[in-house]
This record gives sequence, C-alpha cells and structure tokens, in this order.
Amino acid sequence: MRNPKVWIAIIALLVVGGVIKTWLTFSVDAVRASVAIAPEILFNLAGFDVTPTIITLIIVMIIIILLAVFSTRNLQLVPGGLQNIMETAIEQLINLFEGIAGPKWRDFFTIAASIFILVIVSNFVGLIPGAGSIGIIKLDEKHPTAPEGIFILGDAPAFIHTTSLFHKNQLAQGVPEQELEEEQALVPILRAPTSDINLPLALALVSVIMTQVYGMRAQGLRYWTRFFSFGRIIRFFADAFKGHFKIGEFFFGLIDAFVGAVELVSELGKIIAFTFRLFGNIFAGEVILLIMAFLFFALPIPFYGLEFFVAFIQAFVFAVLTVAFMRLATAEHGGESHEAQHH
Amino acid sequence: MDKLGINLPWFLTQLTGFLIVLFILRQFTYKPILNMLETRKRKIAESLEYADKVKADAAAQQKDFERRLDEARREAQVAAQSAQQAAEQERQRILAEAQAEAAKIKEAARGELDYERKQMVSELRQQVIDLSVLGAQRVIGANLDDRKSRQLVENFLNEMDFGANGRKPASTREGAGA
Amino acid sequence: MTDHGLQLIGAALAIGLAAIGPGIGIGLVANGALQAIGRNPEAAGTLTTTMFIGIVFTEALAIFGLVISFLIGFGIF
Repeated sequence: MRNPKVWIAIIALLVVGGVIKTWLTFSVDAVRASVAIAPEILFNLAGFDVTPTIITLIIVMIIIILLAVFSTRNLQLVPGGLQNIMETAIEQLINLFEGIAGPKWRDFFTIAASIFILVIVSNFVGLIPGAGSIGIIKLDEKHPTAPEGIFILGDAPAFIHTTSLFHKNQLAQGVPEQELEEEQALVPILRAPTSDINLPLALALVSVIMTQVYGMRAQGLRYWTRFFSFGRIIRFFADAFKGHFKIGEFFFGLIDAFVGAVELVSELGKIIAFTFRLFGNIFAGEVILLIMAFLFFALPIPFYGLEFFVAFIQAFVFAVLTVAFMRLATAEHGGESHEAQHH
Repeated sequence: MDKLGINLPWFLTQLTGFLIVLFILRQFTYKPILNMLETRKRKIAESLEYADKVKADAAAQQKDFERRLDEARREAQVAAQSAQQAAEQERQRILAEAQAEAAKIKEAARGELDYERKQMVSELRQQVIDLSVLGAQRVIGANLDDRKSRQLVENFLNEMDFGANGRKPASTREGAGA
Repeated sequence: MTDHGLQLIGAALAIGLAAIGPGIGIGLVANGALQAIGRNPEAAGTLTTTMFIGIVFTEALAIFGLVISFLIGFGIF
C-alpha cells in the first residue's frame, strides 16, 4: 500500500463514483432492484437478445485474452511481472491437478484450467462494485413512460417499501391513482456470467461430455459397459438357450444392469449438480448482497468478503471435480476386467 | 426451462465464449508456459548437476592440495632432519680435523724441540771437544795436531755414545767424567 | 392467506429445511478434517483441499434448496 499509484487509483475511483452518483442518477428511489433468475434483456441486436451476462462475458473474455497474450508475449527464463503471476497460477493448478489425477493431469489440464480461469474471472467481475447496481430502466408494453438514462440502485429501501418515491412523484405529477404504474425494475448493465444459468450449464456439459470422451479414449468401447452392463444377463440367456438355468447369474445380471442405470442417472445428475452448484452459489451471493444493502448501510461488507471466498472456491471446485471425474472415468475399473479374464 | 433463462442462443453464446477462451488460453498460455516450466526444470536440474560437479571438483582439489601440503610438510621435515644430521656430521668432521691438526701441530712442535736439542747437544759436543783439546794442549804443552786430536776426542765421545740421539745413557756420564 | 403468502412460506421452508442437513454435514466434515490435521499436521495441505471438496458436496444440497426456494419465491413454478 506504500505505492502511490494505489492511492491515486482509489481516489480516482471515488471521484468517478461521486461524479456518477451526482450527475447520472435520474431518480434513484424510483426503481426496485431486479432479482431475476433469467437474465434480463438489455436490448435487441438484430434479433438477438443481448443480456447483461453476455456483455460481462465479453468483458471477461477480453480480460482473459489480454492476460493470456501479454503474460506470455516475451517469455523469459527468469520470469518477472505478469509472466511471474501467470506462471505461479499455472504451477499451482498443475500441482493441484497432479495431486488429484497423478501423471494423467496433462490430458485434463486444458479444459479444467480454462474452466477455472473463466469461472474465477467471471465471478470476480461480477463482484466489481457497480455490477448489478448500475443499469437502465427498460421500456416495455407495460411501462411505456420509463425514464431513460443510466441509474444507480440507491440506498432508498425501495425494494422493501411497497410505495416508492416513484409513485409519489407520479401522484405529484397529477397521475390519477388508479393509473399508477407499477414500480419498474433496474436492469443492470453488468452481471456475472456465472449467475446466468447458461454458462454453468455450458461448462457442465463440456465437463461431462469430455469426461465421456476421455473415458472412451482410455478404455475404448468397454467404457460404455459402465452404464450398459448387460453382459451377465446375456450370458444367462445364452446358457438358458443351451439348457442350463443359473438363477443366481440372472439376479446378478439384473443387479449389474441396475447399477449401470444408476451410473447413467448419476452421470446426468452430475450435469445438474455442476450447473446448479455454480449458478446457485453465485446467484445467491448476488441476491444476498442486494438484500443486505437494503437492510443496513455497511452490512454487505462482510458478505462481500464471503462472496470473494465463494467466487474462488466455486471455480476451484468446478475444476477439481472435473479432473476427479475425468480420472475416475479413465481409470480401469479393476473388478470387471478381472472377471473378464476368468470367464 | 424458459423461466430459468435457458435458451439456445444465449447458451450457444456462452458456450462459444468458453471455447474461445479455452482455445486462446491453450494457444497463448498453457503451451508456452508448460514448455517454459519444462525448460526451467531441465535447466535447474542441469545447473544442480553442474554445481554438484563443481563441488566435487573443489573437494577433490582441496584434497589434492591438502595431500600436497602434507607431502611438502613431510619433505620439509625430512630436509630439516637431514640438514641437522649433516650439520652434526660436519661438526664431527670439523672437530676431528681440528683434533688432528692439533695433534700434528703438537708433533711438529715436539720434532722441532728434538731437533733443537740435538743441535744444542751437537754444539755442546763441539765445544766439549774444543775445550778438551785446548785443555790437553795446555797440559802437554805441545801443539797437538789439531785434526788428529779432534778425531781422538770424537772417537772417545762416540765410544761413550754421547749425544747422538739426544739421550744420555748412564755410560755417557761415566765417559765424560773419565 | 393469499397464494402469494403461501408461496413465500414455501420458499422460506425450502431453504430453511435444506440448510439443516448441510449445516450438520459441514460441521462433521470440518470436525473430521481438523482432527486429522491435529493428528498429522504435515498433511494439512491435502486435507484442506479434500475438506473443501467435501464441504462443497455437502453445501451443494443447501444450494439446491436455495435455488428451489428462489424458484418458488419468484413464482417460476
């Protein structure tokens, strides 16, 4: 903190914040915070609905691409600056993945590390002050008279009070009471991409599908016997056709098939778990910060720290679980191959 | 699904975003950094090996140096010892030489003394002869043939065996008295 | 009682009940991890990683409850 640049940056941030607060707010009290699971639509671009999460995703991508390119632009044997930071991060990831997957970490590294980096940067960008609280009020059929401009979600407890200053303003402007418009929600410009269910779903699908790919690459077609293990039951029917009935074999075959079905369901469950774990944590974090902001002036601060921790932990867990599942899929399941040799 | 916000265009946008990030990270970050880490690991292993080698060399050199130092020390000791011995020998030699010299000088002195005594004896003898001849002339009053009388005394002295080697046998005193 | 009131009660129950099990579970996970670290402090690094994975699996249940609670509360169902 001795670095004067840090102080200059903090002061500049405060000044910019003050300017935004004094000049850009139209009517802070008029809007209620938007808490919507589905991302709000900011505007329509040639038939494509652009959401805050997509805008933030583009920002996140720009940050990551700049980091990726500038950190390795001229690699030195003795690292310094950005290269050092990037190398340290990559080395930590390598150590982590090596601890989980052993020497196979190289196969899984690209996907798991990319997931980690994308998720952690997304989560942190979602925590930038202003993300979720600076936005526009959207016009729609119900609200044709919404004010234009950029708004900050203020300290007015509009979220809790049913009658807001917006109504009072409308009343003061002579709008008859029965024609009062409903409060309008603020659509933030920035919102963490991970709090839009599409990104967690995309990552979960990539993770689970690539797990199957690696499993099949490691074990060939035999990998699928993990889910569709009808070998014993087919053997039972083959034996029955020849005339020996082994009832025990039949029941074991049924159990095998059932275990396979359970594996299949749990594989699908992994997609849901991955998706909702990430989405739920980040979205809940945003909602909690918002609600705390409306309850008491400084209450969000400890939760803000907690959200930083959660942001890191979720990225970490997503990557670690991806590697762990991939390792499980590529490992030979010893029991079956053992049995196959005996028969 | 729709109320959760899952819809195909958004999903595809997010997926594409992830794939772009994945591709760029792989191309610009993972490959070079993994290579760099590998290179650095190899370099470090190499330099550690080199350091070990240098250390071993230094140890060997140190050992060699100590060995040589030991050798030199031992040699110096040997040299000192031999020098001491030589000095002792020299001392002995010089001593012996000196003793020999002293003996020689003593011998020489004794020889000279002898010679002088002989000289004195022979001179004394001449004088004794002269005296006796002179005495006898006075006694007999005649001029004795010098040569002949001398011969006589000489013979007498010879018979007395007097003074030939500086020793004085008992008979000499008797002869002289006669 | 209005439908909206019932909806809010449902949402509160969903997250409230969903938090009980994971609360106990996370306590057990941390308990086990701390005992293990106490017995074998050298393994603290690995144990912490594993503990976080365990906590996250447990916490996921609460998060599912929370998501369901949001879905009910915002009237998505």
